[in-house]
Amino acid sequence: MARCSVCGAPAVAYIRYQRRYLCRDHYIEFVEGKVRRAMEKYRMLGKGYRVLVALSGGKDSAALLGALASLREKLGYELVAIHIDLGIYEYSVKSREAAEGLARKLGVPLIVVPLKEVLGATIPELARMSGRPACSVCGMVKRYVTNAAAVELEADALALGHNADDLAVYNLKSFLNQDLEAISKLGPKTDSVPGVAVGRIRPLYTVYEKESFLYAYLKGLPFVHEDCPFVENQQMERQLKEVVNKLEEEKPGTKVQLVSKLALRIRDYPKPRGEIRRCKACGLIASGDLCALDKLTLRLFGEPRGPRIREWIRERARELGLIPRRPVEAAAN
Amino acid sequence: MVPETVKVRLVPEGEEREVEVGEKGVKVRDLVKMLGLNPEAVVVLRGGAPLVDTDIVKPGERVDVVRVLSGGCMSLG
Repeated sequence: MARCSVCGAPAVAYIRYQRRYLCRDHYIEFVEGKVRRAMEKYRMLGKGYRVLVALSGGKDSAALLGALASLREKLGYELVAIHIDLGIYEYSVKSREAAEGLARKLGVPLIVVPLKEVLGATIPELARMSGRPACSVCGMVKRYVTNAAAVELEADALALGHNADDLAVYNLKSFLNQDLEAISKLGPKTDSVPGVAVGRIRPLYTVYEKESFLYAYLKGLPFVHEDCPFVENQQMERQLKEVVNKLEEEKPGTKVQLVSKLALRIRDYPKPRGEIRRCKACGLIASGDLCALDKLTLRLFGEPRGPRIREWIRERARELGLIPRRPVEAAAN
Repeated sequence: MVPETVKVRLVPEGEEREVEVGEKGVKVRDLVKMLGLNPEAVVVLRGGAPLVDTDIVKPGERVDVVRVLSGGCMSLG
């Protein structure tokens, strides 16, 4: 039986690119160390920060919240979580249960946004009504709601659970499409635009997908481990994941190098053209007169529904005592 | 003669497979490759406990081979 390279206890993982076996405790320490180093290296968080964590209910958001919760006392930030109930049938029911169980277990206040109630339609309904692919509508809605919540909560950062594999794949996909502006958004963090957009951070930037799964599993964190029914829409991403894993298999460490180099050169990629504007309906970030969500809801429902989402989140945050935001000294949770 | 096989359950698909491994069993890493999978993309569990590449799975044992990629959604903001 393989033994932990640190303490000699039975090993649960072999880190090929470091040629180390690790037991459960040292494996957890290893992943949390990776998260901590990435947060420090890329200056993601500071003392007294309020961090809003986006929970999908899957393994990556479980690992994200688990690691952030373990490090919060040492690093001195406050955590709040958000989950969007997308209304994708049974998948969303299970995802919501997992997100609720996770936040409860880790003692993090959670805002659940049920799309059907708050926006008036689920993702499958929005896709049908608009004639757009479900994944495209879903991505746009998630970006809107998480940003709106981060603004309402006066969060200093919005934490997302993208792992190294996700970033490697999106980098390659964007490169194949020569969408260099898209690559400019794949760094460890993006900047805030005061009042309209909260900067995003990716604490799992250097954590492999497999590491994220094993971490969440070994810590006993609740997560849903199944495919979204719309997954067949993402064939190219899946194929690229296989390609990246083949490279990793042949040359261990490929993925960590890829994301580290990407982070190093991220500022050299061109940013999307056009000035940053304020949506005339909801006041949040937009590239034209209206933001993407208000444009879509105006077309589908005859009214922009961003303001309604913002108001709904504000009320929930007030009920939970999260706003008005307490002074930094009293914010530890 | 007892067949020298390992029972494998693929997760999350739920598909069950029997793999011939010989009387001495097989290393986890080789078992995963015999299934046509990349070791980088799966975690192998025996009785719920994660196994490492060099652990041996013996005939008659059952393992779960968990595909770590799930959800499928990689929309990046």
